[in-house]
Amino acid sequence: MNDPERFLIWLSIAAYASAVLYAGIRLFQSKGHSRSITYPIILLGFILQTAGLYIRGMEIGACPLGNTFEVVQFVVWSTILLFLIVGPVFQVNLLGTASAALATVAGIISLLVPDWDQPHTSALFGGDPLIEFHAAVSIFSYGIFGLLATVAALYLLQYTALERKWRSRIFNLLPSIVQLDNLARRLLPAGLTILTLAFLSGILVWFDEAWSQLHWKLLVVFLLWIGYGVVWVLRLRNRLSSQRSAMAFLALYLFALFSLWPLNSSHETQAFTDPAQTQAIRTQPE
Amino acid sequence: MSLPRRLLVVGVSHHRTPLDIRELFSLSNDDLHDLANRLLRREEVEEVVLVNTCNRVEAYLAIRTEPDLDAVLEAMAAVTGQSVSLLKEMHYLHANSDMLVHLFSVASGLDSQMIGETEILGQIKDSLKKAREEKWAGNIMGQLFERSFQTAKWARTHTGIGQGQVTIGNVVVDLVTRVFGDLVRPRILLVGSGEVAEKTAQSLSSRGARDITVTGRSFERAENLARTFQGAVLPFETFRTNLHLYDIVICSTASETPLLTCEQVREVSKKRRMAPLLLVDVAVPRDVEPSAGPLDQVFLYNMDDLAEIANENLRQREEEVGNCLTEIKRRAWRVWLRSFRRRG
Repeated sequence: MNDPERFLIWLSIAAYASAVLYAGIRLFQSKGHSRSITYPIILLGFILQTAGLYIRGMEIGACPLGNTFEVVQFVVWSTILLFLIVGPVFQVNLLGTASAALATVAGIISLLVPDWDQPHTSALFGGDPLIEFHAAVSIFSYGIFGLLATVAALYLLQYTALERKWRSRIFNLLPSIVQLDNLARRLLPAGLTILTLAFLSGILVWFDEAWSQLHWKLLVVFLLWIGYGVVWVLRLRNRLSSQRSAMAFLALYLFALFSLWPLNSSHETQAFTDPAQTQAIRTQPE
Repeated sequence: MSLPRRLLVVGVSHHRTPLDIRELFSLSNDDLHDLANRLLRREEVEEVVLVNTCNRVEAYLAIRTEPDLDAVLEAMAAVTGQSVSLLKEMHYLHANSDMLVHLFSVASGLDSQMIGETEILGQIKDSLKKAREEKWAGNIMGQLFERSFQTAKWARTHTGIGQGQVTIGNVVVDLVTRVFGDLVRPRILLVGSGEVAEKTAQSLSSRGARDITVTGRSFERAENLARTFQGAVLPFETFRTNLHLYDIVICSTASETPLLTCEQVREVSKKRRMAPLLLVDVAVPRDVEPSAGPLDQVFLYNMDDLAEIANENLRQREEEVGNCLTEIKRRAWRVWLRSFRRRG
C-alpha cells in the first residue's frame, strides 16, 4: 500500500467499529457493560491512529493539520484520547462506545472523501511554532467538545427516555443523567480553557496581519468561545437546565465541525496561492 | 345447554380501565360495607367477597339462581358515585369455572399489573378474612378461595413466574439508578407509611439507600417505619415546605385528593435549582397531579408507568406464564366440577 498512514488509520477505524459492534450486540441482548473488552479495543484503535498520524506528521514535517482529513482525524484522536483518560475515572457506561461510534463515523467519512486529503505543504504553518501551537490547541479543544457532545447525546437520550417513559431494558444500561451532567460540568470548563488558549495564541499570531485575510479563523474560534462561555456562565448561575445545555453542546459542536470546512479550504487556497512557498512533499492519495 | 351461573365475578381492573378512571372506582372501608350490604340484600346472592386493591375492584359472588347483572352493576355504580354506563363500558364478568380461572390467576399474580408479584396474594387473603369476619362469605367462597391460595403456592413453587421477582420497589430502584446513578447519595422521602411504602423502602434500603425520611398522617406509623430503616421522620404538616430537600419522593397515601398540585411541584423544582426530581406516585387515587409530569427536570411515574416498565422486563417469562395458565385452567375446571356436583 502506498500510504501506510492511511492503512493504519483504516485499521484504527476498524478497531473502533469492532468496539461499537461488540457493545451494540451486548446492548441488544440486554447484557451488562463490556468495558473490559471495549476499552482495550479502543486503546488498540488509538495506538494505530497515533501511529498513522505520526507517520503523516513525519512526512510533512509538521503537526498533521493541513487538510480536512487530517483535521478530522486529529479531532477524533483528541476525543478518543480524552475518553481513554476520563473514562476509567468517571466510569460512565457506554461513553467509550459512543466515542468510538463518533470516531468510526467521522473516520470513515474522512477516509472515503478523496478531496479531503489533498496534498499540502510543510509551509502551512510558515515554520512558526506559535501557529502550530494555535492549530494543535484549537483542534484539541474540538476533541474535548467532541467528547462533551457525546456526553450530551447520551444525556438527551436518557433524559428523553425517562421523560417519555420509553420502556426498554437498554436504558438501564445507559449512564444516569446526573453522572452525565457531572461529566459535562467538568468537560465544559476544560474545553473552554483550551479554547481560550487557542484564541489567545491566534490573536498573538495574527494581530499584525491583515484582518480581512484571516478573520474567518479568529471569528469562528471567537464565536465558539462566546457560545460555550455563555452556556458555562448560565449554568454557573443556574439559568440553564441540563437538557438545554446538552442541546446547546450538540449544536455548538456541529457548528465547530462545519466551521472546519471553510477554515480548511481557506488555508488550502492560501497555501497554494503562493507557488514559491509551496513544497508538495507527498503524492495524491489513491 | 349452558350450566346455570352459580359463581360470578364482576369488576374493573388495570386490563381495561386506565388509571384516571380506575381511581374513580376505588372503595373506602365504608364503601366496601355499603356495597356488600347492597349485594347481599339481593335474594339470589348467597355470599360475597370484595377485592379492593389499587389495580382492581372486584365482587366475587356465590349465587343461588341466575343473577340480575344490571342490579349488581347498579349497586357498584351507586357506591362509587359513578354512572352505570361507564361501569358497563369498563367492567368484566366471568362465571362458573371461568370465575375460578380468574380467581386463581389473580391469586397467583398472573393477572397482576406486574406479572408474578406476590403482594396480591396477601390482599386476596385479607379480602376473604374481612368477608368472613363480616359474615359476607361462608363455606362456598371460603373453600374456593382456599383453593386459589393453594394454586398460587403451586404456581410460585413449580413455575418460573416468581423468578427474578419484579416489584414496585425494584422498578423504582431501576428508575433511581437511571436518574441518579446510585442510591447512596439521593435523599428519599416516603409520603405514606403503608405496605407499599414499606416494601418500596425495603427494596431501596437493600440496594444501598441511606437517606430515607418518612412522613404520614399517622406520625406513629411513620416513626415505626423510619425506625426500621434508621431513617428520619417528618411531620406530615410540614412535608410540602421541605420537599425541595429531597431528590426522590414516593407517594403512597390513601388521600382522596392530590397531595401535590402541579404548581407546588413547579415551586419545588424552582427551589431545587434545576436538579432532577423523581416523583413516584403509587397511590390510587393519585397523590400528584399528572400535569406535573412534563415539568423540566421532573420525572413523574405513576402505578401504570411502573407496571409497564416491569412487564417489559417480564416478557421473557411469557412461556412460563402460558404453562402456569394451562395448569390453572385444569385446576379451576376440577374444582368447579366438584363444587357443581356438591351443590347439585
